[in-house]
Amino acid sequence: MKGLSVRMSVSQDGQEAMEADFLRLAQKGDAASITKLVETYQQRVFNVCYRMLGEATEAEDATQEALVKAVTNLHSYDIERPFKPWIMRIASNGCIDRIRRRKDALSLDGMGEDGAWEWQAGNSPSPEREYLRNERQAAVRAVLDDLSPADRMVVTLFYWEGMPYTEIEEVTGLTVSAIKSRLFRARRTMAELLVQEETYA
Amino acid sequence: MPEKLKMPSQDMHTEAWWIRVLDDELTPDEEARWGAHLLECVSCRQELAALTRVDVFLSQASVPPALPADFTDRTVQMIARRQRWRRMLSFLAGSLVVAAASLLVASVADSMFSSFEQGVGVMYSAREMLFHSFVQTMLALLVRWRTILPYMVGTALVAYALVMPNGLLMTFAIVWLSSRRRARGMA
Repeated sequence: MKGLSVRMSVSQDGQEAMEADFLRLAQKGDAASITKLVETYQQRVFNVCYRMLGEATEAEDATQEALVKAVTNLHSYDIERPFKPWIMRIASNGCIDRIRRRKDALSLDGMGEDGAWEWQAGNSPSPEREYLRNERQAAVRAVLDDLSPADRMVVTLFYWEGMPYTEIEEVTGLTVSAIKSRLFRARRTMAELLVQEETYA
Repeated sequence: MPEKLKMPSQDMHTEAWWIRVLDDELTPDEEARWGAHLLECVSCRQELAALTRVDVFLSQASVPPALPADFTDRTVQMIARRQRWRRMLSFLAGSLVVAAASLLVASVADSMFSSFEQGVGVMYSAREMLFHSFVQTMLALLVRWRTILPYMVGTALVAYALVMPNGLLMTFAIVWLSSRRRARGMA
């Protein structure tokens, strides 16, 4: 076990060193390194945007916006610090802005009209299962919609990105105790909503 | 029930306690106390079940879809466009700063020297010094931002053409100064 953990740590260090190398080159404007940077982080950033916005098309726009903003502002990024929280912070802030902007216009009735929650490439075994899956996603979305944008971000990073509190702290700028408190209150709100939904059903 | 497992249940109804429960941060002793409390407290049992259900519920959310195949290309192109635009803006901003600084220098020279010829003479004599400063600035920028070399060279050349005594801006400044002088003389 110890040997394995040492190997893993060496491999992680190697990966970090490699990442630092192409980040340095990207900072100098090297096109190949910029492409690699985009390729490395695009899906991770998209996952967060998708969870926060609940819509594939908008999440794609938000992802592109975050990546463009990150690369064009690379000169202000401290190479000694991890890159992931930095780009996630840019992406999360962008998503929060989008949620705030659309808050008034958004209604649950319009959800899924552009195929957001329905769109799952090559992953639709049967209409019944597809229907159940969409129902479940709609329920998840409805519960998340009731949270404030900041709480939604904390829930997204904690549950789906599996980030530790310290990393969430770097992304959000909140203290660890504030994150714990927000997460707990968000869990409580979601628990209440689930109970209400079950009662209603 | 052992004596030490009996504790005020108010402690266990606080947010801080619940956070520790959910983060698995209880000591073995606290675990035992918590277990005993759960046997007695219906509301805590219900709340724990509801919070556990949230974890299960969120884990059922489907995996986000994959990005389209051309996403990387589109993004890299957009980055290149944005960077070009930024360079153009910094080029324009740099030219504006140079123009504003030149006008300022011309105004100061106008007020500092008693005769117009003396002012123009000083500006001419500063030619060599200005040239050296520009070359040095250009070299420094070149070393710092190698990637925008053409823009830096362009900025330096335009600035040189504008500010040098036989340049456009300097010609404009001299004409402007002389017309002011003439107007003042007539008054």
